[in-house]
Amino acid sequence: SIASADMDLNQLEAFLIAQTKKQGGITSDQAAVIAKFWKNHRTKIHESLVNQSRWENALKNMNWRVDLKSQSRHIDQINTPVAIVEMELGKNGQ
Amino acid sequence: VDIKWKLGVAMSSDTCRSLKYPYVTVMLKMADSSGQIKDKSFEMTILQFQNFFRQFKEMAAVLETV
Repeated sequence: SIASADMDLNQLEAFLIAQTKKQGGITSDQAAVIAKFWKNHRTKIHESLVNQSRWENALKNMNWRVDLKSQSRHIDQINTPVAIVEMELGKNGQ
Repeated sequence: VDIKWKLGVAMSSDTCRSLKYPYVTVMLKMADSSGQIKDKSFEMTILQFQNFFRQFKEMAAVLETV
């Protein structure tokens, strides 16, 4: 619940207090441990959840170079700088 | 041949109710040597996009100086 809602510290505190008050809920010691864990790992956990919802192509790698055409069949293309870009696109693991 | 982009924010997903994940999607229309048009799209996080943008800025600078 905490990860799904990506709770900030205020929400976390309110949520944990409510859990300690519930019957069969957690103790205040357990609440403190959970709070510490979430504070320390929130960013990484959220990042992991974000990655689970990415399934489109991602840009894995990108290379580029700039060429200068020095000779050409068509005179008007001489001395034209050209950028050539290579992009590697892939999905998870591909 | 053509480039399209869009900035989106994924609000929620089946694994996370409060996702709030901003991303950039780029769509490239490319013509290969035979003239056939192909569509390729990909998604970048904001950090990845900033790197992508920086690469093109570098390219533009080099193209100016050549």
